[in-house]
Amino acid sequence: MPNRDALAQEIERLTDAEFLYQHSPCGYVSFNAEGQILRINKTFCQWLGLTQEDYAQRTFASLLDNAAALFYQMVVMPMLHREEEANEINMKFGQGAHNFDGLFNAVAHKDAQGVLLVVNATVHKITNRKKYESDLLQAKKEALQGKKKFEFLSNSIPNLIWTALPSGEVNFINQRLEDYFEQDDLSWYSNLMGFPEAERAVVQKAWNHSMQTGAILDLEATMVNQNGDPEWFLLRMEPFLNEHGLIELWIGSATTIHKNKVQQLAAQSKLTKNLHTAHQTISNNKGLFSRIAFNQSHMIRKPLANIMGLIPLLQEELLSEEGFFVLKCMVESTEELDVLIKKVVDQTTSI
Amino acid sequence: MFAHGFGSDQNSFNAIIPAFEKDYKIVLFDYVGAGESDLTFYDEQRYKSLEGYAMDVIDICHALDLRDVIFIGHSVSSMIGLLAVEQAPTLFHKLVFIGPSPRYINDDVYEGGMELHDLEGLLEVMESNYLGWSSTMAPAIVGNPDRPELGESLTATFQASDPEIAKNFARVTFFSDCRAKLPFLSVPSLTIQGQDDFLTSISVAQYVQEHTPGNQLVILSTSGHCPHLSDPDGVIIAIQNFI
Repeated sequence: MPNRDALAQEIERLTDAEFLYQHSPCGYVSFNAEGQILRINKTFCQWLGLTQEDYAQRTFASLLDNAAALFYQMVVMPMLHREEEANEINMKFGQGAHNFDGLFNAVAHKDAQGVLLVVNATVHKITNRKKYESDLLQAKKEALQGKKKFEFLSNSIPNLIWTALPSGEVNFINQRLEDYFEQDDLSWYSNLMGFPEAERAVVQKAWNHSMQTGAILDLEATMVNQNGDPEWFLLRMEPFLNEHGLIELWIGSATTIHKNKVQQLAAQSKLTKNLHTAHQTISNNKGLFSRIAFNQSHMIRKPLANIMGLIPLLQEELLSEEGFFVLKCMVESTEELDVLIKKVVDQTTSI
Repeated sequence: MFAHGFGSDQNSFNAIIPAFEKDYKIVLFDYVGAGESDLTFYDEQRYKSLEGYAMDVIDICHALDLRDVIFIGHSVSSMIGLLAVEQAPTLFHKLVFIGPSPRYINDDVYEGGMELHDLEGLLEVMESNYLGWSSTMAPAIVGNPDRPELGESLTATFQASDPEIAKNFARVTFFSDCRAKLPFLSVPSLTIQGQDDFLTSISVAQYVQEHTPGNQLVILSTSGHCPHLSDPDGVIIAIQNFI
């Protein structure tokens, strides 16, 4: 029984309001409108490496490191005068080996006229959490730096650059593209307004195809600049894949090919014209060719017919074996020549 | 005209305004990036030095057709007022500096109270507190507790664009050096300094007084960098005696 009483007494002591105040797992501090410390608990004192008596003449700001004290003076203190409370403010407390990151929460008590009387505050140690937060902040800074580098790079090359989300929504344009169209509204680019109305459907179809299949977009198209002049560009848009192999972003570029394209189109046009002229020339000369072929064939045919008429006479003569062979060759040659002349005449007349 | 300091807004003068309302026309404003200002008007070029903020003060004077302005600037606004007088001396009648500093960072012959690494540390603290700070401040700025959604929307705006403005303002403020301008101030001025100010010490206030023609110095027994908050009566009396 005595043990039980002692235990009850000990539990009562450990849960007593004063014990809780002094030994809570957080720091307690109260200070007046000028920051003079009125009361501070043992936990906070231990964290700061000082005794409770050390604080008799100190201000709350003196518990902070220099940077946090500046922030407190300029931002937190005016807030406590103006507001009823301040929440989750991260400041560094203590000096040297007793320096630690803390999370400051406070309630500001005021009189009927709203004049600040007392601030009751708690401070929680967040040293480990702060390290993790610092890593996150560093990663965020690096990501921001990477974004700035990309923007710088995209502005330093002579192409028009944009990026689009997997949905097709344009979420970045470089300065050159903005200057080209004098348009900074990203939705304008998402709607492909830079392309002539008549060609927009073609571009949209290719764009949609890439979005749906992940295929690289490669397209020659005209875009109309701010002066209303159409110009040729080679459009290329490639997907950027994230670590899971999923499309995270489309990176697009438009390279001007206007000069070459105009020259190419001009050369094509000239070639077409020349072919047309040639075709017309051939057509116009068709009759002339026929007549020449017919006349020439007639002139050749006449002596050939004579030769072919004399061959039977020779065949009736008694010829040596050698003469018979020569006559056989003559017969074959005259027949081949006759067939050839017929073919020339037929082809000439069919032109 | 009351001009707030860094990290604050026009509400910081609430405790002393009533004392002057009866006899004076009161002009309050928020610098771009503070309070309820329209953040879209933030111009990095204009605000890369305190002169840009001084131009804003002059613009307000012209827009409201103000003459014989008594300019009361807290902290960095003290020097903004000094620059405004330099740019448009005929608009101003008197200047009141509350916790002024012509230069915050120490050099070989001058003790401003801050080292460069303190400024870097301050920027880090601001960065790590930005979300908490703005979510605490925004509802108060809107001042409409029945419609918390207004606060939420303002907080969202702050979170999107304010950190960089606040950091730039901090850089401009703490890298400023107006010491060479003090001797040329052409209107009477008053310096109000708290006894125990972590940011601007009494020696800085004395430097301002010694180098500024016609400057009076009143030291209040209050501590902290915002005597208009911690000792509004002391500030009111000092200003009333001066003006």
